[in-house]
Amino acid sequence: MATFKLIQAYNLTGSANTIVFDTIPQTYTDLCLYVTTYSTRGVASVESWQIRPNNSISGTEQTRIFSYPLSSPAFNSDGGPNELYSSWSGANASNFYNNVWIYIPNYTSTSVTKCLMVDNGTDNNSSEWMVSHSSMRTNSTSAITSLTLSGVSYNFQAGSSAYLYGISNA
Amino acid sequence: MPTATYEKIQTYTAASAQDTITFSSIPSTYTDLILISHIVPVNNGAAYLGIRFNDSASGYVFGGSYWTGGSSTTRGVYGGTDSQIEIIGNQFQSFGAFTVHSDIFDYISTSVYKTALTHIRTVDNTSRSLATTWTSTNAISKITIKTNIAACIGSGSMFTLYGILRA
Repeated sequence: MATFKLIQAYNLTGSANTIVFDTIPQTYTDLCLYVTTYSTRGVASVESWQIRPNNSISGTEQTRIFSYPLSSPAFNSDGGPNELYSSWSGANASNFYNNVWIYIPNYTSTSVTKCLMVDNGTDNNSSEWMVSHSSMRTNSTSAITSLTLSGVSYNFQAGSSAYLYGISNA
Repeated sequence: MPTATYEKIQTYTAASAQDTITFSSIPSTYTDLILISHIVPVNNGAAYLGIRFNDSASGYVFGGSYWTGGSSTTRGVYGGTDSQIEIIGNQFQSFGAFTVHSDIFDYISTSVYKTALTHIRTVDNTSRSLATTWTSTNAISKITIKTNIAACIGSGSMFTLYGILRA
């Protein structure tokens, strides 16, 4: 029996600040999310977006390793901000594509806190790029019933996409 | 509709604290395996956590990268040989919930060594990504996740083994 099933897909045809996967079925073992974001902001800034399990980042923790700065990358690691940053676009961000893989095991549990594995790569098809590997954990034992992707300082542009898959518990 | 190629073989959820999780009699009908672990440690003393194939305690050659978060961050690369795929060293007991994703390639081959990519992600201390060669040509029919201290894998921990189907 197939176990890697598409739950919901978004292919943006216009700008949006949030992408919401709500009423996630509780019939799978794990969740896997593939996201491509597209930014045309074109100003010098670091951009980011958050993934909010059950639309909350309260009490979340993160550890990550990432390449920075964009112009001369070296690996750095830190505890990350108290937010679930998953992607950055860099100086003079223009035509940045950001590809992210997120894996969430055991998301239906009501007895343990939830963990997210996040791999992220972004570049503007030119001289700027960045990769990061993150560990994230919520402080809630509630089952995850929704995932909200939320732009922090910018909107997801047309051409962005997000696909949520369920790994079947069948 | 395309043929499904990603199947769950078995899920194990710990109803009480344990020291060993075993997937035995793994079918030989897949090409590769994926092991997903969501682990809640219990502090019963300084503990190691590792993965072994076919109960073998030798022949694991690895290279990898590691990093920590917090105010005193460290990072680097390392390698060597071990008696298992070491997920966490003797600090396992002090961690909160964390996740491990392992890809195990060509596990049914009886002619080549086995390779695995293991990604350990924790917010509490050291995260790792390891490439491991188990220097055995035996097919893998059993996978064990084990600590060296009793009852360190807490209730609610979940382990799922997936198979990538042979076309």
